[in-house]
Amino acid sequence: MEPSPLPPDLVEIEARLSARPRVEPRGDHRDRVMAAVRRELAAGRTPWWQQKETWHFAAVAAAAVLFVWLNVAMRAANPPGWRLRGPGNGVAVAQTAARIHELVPSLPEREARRQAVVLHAGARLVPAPQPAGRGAGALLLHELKEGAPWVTQ
Amino acid sequence: MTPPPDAELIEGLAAADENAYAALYDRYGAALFRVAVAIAGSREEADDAVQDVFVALVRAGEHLRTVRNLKAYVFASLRRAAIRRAQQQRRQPLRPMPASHETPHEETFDDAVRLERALASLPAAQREIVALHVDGGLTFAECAETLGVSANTAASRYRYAIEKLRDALKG
Repeated sequence: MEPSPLPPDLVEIEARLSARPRVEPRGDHRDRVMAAVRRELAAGRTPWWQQKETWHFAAVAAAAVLFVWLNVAMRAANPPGWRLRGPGNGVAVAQTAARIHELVPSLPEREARRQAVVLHAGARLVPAPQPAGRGAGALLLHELKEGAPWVTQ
Repeated sequence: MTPPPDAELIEGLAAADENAYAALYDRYGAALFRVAVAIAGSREEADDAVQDVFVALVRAGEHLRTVRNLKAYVFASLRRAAIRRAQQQRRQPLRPMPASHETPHEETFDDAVRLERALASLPAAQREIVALHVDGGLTFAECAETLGVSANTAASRYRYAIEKLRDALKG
C-alpha cells in the first residue's frame, strides 16, 4: 500500500483497518475459478459447427424460413376471394362486376370484382347513431342538422 | 520464479494461455476476493464475482492487448461484477463484511466489532475506496482508474472515509 499523507490519528485508524481480520477465499476457490477458465477456453476453441449455440440459431432460422414459405405457398394456392355474406349476394356481385368490366374493359377482372364487392358493401350500410360518449364521432352526430344527408362511406 | 510482468501476462491472457490465468489468480485472486466481499456483501457472491471476472477476461480475448493497467482493469471488472451480483440478489451493495474465520483475542474483539460497524456505516462510495485501497492494495492512481475518477478525488474520498471512521469510533 502506498504511503498516504494522513495525520497521525488517521494513520492509526488506517493501521487498524489493515490489521483487522479479513475474509479470505476458501482453499478450493482457485480450483473453481480455474475450472471455469478451462471451460470457457475450451468453448472458445470449439469449432463453430460443434457449438450448441450455432445449431440452436440454425434451428430457429430454419423454422422461420419454413413458416414464411408455408404462408407464401398457402397464399399462392388459395388466393383470397372477394365475397359478401348473405343469400344471393354472390350473383349480384358477379353481375355488378361484369357491368364494371363492360364499362372499363381495361380494369382487370379481379379488380372489377373487388370494386363490385365494395359497392355492394357500401349500399348495405345502415345509418345508425353513435353510441353515447364524448368522442369525436358523438360530437359529429350532435352537430348534424336535421334532414342532412347521411354519409355512408 | 519471478512472476511475469504485466505486459507479458496480458499477452498470455490474450493468447488464451491457461498458465497466464493461473498466474493472474495467484497475483490478484485473494485481493479480488476481499474487495468482492466488501462490495457484494457475502462470501458466496464474492466467489461468483471473482469467477465472473475470469470468465469475462477469457471472453475479452484479443481485446486485452489494448489494456494499459491490468490491475486497474481487473478490479474495475470485479467492481462491476460484484455490484451486478449484489443487485441480482436484491441486496444492498457494500454491506457489512461477514465474520472472518480468524477469531480476534477477547480484549480486541469489541474493537474489531466497533471497527466493522463503523465501516458499515460509511457511505457506499467511501466503503468502496477503503475496500480497494486497504483490502485490494490498490494505489490511489489505480483506485482512480478503477472508479473512473481523478486520483485527487480518490485520495480525498479515502481521507473523508478515514475521518468518518475516526469520528464513529470516538462516539
